[in-house]
Amino acid sequence: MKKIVFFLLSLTLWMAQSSFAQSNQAAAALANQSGCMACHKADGKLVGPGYQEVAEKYKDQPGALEMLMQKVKKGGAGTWGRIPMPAHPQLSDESLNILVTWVLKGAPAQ
Amino acid sequence: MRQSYLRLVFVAICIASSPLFAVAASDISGVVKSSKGLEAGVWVIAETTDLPTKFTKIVVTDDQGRFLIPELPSANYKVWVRGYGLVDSSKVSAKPGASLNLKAVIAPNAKAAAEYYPGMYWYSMLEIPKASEFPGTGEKGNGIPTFMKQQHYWVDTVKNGCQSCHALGSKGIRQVPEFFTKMGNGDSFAAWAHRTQAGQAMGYMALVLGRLGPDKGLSLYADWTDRIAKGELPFAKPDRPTGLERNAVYSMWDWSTPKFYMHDAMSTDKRNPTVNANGLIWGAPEESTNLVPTLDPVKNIASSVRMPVLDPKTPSSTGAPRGPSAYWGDEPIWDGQSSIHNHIMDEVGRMWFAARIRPVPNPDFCKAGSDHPSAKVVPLNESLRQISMYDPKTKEWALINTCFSTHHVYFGHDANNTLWTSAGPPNSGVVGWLNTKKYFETRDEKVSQGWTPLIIDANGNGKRDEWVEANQPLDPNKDKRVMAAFYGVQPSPVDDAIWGQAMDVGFSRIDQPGYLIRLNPGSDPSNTALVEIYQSPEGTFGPRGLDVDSKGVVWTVLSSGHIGSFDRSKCKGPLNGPSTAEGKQCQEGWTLYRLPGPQFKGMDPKGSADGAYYIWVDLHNTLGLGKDVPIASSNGGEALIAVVNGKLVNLHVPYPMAFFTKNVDGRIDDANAGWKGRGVWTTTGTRTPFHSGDGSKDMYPKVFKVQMRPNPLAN
Repeated sequence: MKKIVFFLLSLTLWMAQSSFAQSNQAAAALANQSGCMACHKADGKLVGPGYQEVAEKYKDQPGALEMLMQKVKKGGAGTWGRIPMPAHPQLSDESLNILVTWVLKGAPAQ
Repeated sequence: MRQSYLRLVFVAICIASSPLFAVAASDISGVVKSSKGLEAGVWVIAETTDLPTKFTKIVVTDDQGRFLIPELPSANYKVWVRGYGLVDSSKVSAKPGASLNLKAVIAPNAKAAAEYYPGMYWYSMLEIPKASEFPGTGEKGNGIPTFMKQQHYWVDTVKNGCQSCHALGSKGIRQVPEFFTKMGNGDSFAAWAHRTQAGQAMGYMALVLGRLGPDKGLSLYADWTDRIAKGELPFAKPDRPTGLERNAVYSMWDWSTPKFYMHDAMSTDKRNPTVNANGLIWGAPEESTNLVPTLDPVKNIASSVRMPVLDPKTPSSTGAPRGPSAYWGDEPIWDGQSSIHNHIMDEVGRMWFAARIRPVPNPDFCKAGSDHPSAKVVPLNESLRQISMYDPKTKEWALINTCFSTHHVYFGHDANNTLWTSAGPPNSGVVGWLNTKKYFETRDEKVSQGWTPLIIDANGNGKRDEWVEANQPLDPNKDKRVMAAFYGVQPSPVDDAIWGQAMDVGFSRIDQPGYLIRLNPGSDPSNTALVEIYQSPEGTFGPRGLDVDSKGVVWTVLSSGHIGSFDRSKCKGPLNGPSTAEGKQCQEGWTLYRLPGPQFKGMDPKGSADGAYYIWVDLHNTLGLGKDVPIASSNGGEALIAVVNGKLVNLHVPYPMAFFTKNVDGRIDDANAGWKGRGVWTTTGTRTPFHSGDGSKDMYPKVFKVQMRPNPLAN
């Protein structure tokens, strides 16, 4: 019985990890496809800030997801230096949610 | 006595007011004078909108200020004078057959005169970080990225990142539109940041900015345009055309639309330039559209043919992220899927394109586990562009799914009519080809294509062996791979070699110099090909494009501001073995020609601020300057620059301002018609035709034809 419970727990954990990995991969692919990675990378500044720095800045901050979704959609300036973030009106709310959720996790590849 | 005197006065008046050279009914001729007297070496421009597409013809005045614009189609023209030291004259109405006395206008001041200087005279005012600032110390240091190890990395990035798409110093660039200044609340740095985000090339612009160090790059560009806005003028002045340069005739036609842009124009088979005589000129509109433009230069008609794609999910530029444009607002002006970069005509007039026909992932036969002979050597998972072919006679397309990426395409001189391709960036690390004879026999793209990695015979045993990868140390028992792909490509007309050229850091974005590469295919190229690599001489850098003359001498252009030739037959040392793995051998094979014009301040004056996109060798004297004359597309000089008997001939195209082309193609329409039956063809190559002239949404890309007469008044 213990073996079955252990097996089921392991399976659940593996499936959850696998699901996370898949969603991270999908978000990374969406970021590539949407042109985000032309200006950003996970670690360190490119043209805009590194996603891990963004995640650190907004860690545990209530409302960060919604605020950043709006910032990506409408653009902004001043938070990360003099180079403005252009607006991305072509991104759907669903895509914005996937992307910003991933960014706030530090943009994991897996 | 009195009658004789009057007759003499009459004759004198006639001599003074008539051109006194043969003039045909289809010519417009005359004399150009200013308040300073006869104006030699200035341009006379005739333009009409009466024809099916806008048409313009330009010539240069001779040493007595005389001009003759030959072979004009019947129409009403506006004719005016442009020249260094002048401002544009009033436009005069004229028809073919007219003889005109044109009044040139001396520029009232240096600022007015400088408006007509080629772009490099303005962008040479851009500050380049000092050599002592390299290697960069990063975002928290001097703003230059740490991977920017030497000053020439920066210059190569400006030329092969920024200038490769834009006529840098042109008015449309050196003046920042009010639109962006307002977006940046009057801050020129912010204005430049918004400017570089405008339009559907935002991603690529960001990529280049990231290489320069975004804050450093934007600061220097903002400083440059701020100084110009405050009245700073170029520190050097161009010379007026002299000698052979005055014999040129420039014809131009509008084609495509102002929203689209071209990469290249093709007219014939480079191996036999009498193919397609008087036929259509074909354009390559890259990311902007699937509509391939055509021009009938006899009937003056511009049209287009739509290129299909194999897979509707082929990426499109429509969805590329974009910021608002000063010209087009929020409109996505590009909708191309086919990304037609370059093309070539075959021996029966079919057009072959380096074009995207499907999404990036490769079919299984390209990948590991495939039985394809090339995939067994180097499996390929991705391809950014493939090949398409159009037969104008049947009006049918063939979409050829290649495993390798394509960028430029040129035919070999072999019995298989092999189409050799370059890949552009180095990532793929292979060179690909299509055996077109086999393709037509089988219509099987899988069996007709092949590719090979670039392997140096580093152990010097004369054959291909196991190799170490590019980032691994030499092994005395193995060969070594060079992680490059061809950018320029050209099969040699004298032997089996395929010459290619790999880009320097500014384009490749890998820490590796640019090379000329000689590929010897061997009997089974995927398994036998070996390469030799050659770096340009110390103090020069950045090869871009190449061609091979009929003696096997290779020509390239360098972002250090040179045209370079490389003659392998002059090499004294070994061309294989471990000492050749870095490509530093055979410096004795090189000859350099400095491109004209100023150099950036503080940089080696042996180089030039000019940069040229490509070079093309006139194997068949299609231009009239001689067989084997190389012609560089000078982007800073807004010119074609030919090397004739060791001297540079600068064929500056003065109208519209910001002539910017990437390559040329020469055709012989009638071998018996002297200069009139020959010419080289090219097109507007900037990604932003709307920056040309004074900057306008009405600026169409153009087809240019350049011809050389025996003298400035020939017709």
